[in-house]
Amino acid sequence: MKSKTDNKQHWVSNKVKKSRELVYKLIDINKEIDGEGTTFRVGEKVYFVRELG
Amino acid sequence: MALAVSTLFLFLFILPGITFKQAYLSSAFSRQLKFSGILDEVFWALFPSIIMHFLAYALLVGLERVFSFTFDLKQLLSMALLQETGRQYADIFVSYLYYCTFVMSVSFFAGHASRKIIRGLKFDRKFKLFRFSNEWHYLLSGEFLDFPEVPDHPEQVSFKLVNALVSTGNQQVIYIGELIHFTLSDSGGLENIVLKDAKRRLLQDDLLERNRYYEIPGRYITIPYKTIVNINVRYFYLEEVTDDYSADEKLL
Repeated sequence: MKSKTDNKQHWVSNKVKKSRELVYKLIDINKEIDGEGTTFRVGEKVYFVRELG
Repeated sequence: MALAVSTLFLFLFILPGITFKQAYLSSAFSRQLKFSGILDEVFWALFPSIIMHFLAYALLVGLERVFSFTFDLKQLLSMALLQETGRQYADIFVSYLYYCTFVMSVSFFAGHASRKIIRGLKFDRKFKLFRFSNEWHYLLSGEFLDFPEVPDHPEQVSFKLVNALVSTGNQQVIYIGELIHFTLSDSGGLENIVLKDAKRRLLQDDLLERNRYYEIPGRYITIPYKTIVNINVRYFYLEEVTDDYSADEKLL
């Protein structure tokens, strides 16, 4: 898990095409996602996710 | 007879207010069919009616100048109020009917335009006064994040995750998946939710094993709201980041 302030992260786009693998991964890790954000990997791609609200 | 005709005239007078209200509340997320009390209903019929009559009158004055015709509303109304016989009422009824049809048309378009303006300026999200009655729309669309008391913005939402506890026979199943669509019912409630790439498990299996969910064949599942016991909606901001991470770095 990495914070959003990690300097290795470069924002590409939040228009992410959500594959079934990506959704399943989000379902699996959803309890660990909070307002601070989490970085995770699906295949060769790395994503950042944070909870809103 | 005169009393019946006067009542008809009065009804036609307040009809534009009802037309305005129906047009304003005609979208699925704003439909309001609950009776809110006689005083409230009369007020919300009469108040917009008066405004619509003023608006329609101003439009008529403008149209008179453009198309060079004359329409004396004051004379028409005084005749409608002061006539004593049914025959005299009949003489002016058609003119009054034309006028009321015009006002109702104005009210209809004004109602729809008002709703679009309120939605366009996002007043319904910023001020409780303008908020429409169907809370499901705000909750499931993510517009709820625009309420003053809630941080973040709906524009940031890129993923909506729903946990729905569903009753099936004598068992309860938890569905979890991405919310991609929902339908609202005519009565102003929620009718269906559509989840994409959902998983499910029996509630009784909770915490029994690590990988509790099992996949559902097919990508989309529709769940009728009447079977849902409770629902949990979470909003996520999701971004793809460039892969500067080495393979051995521990990510989730």
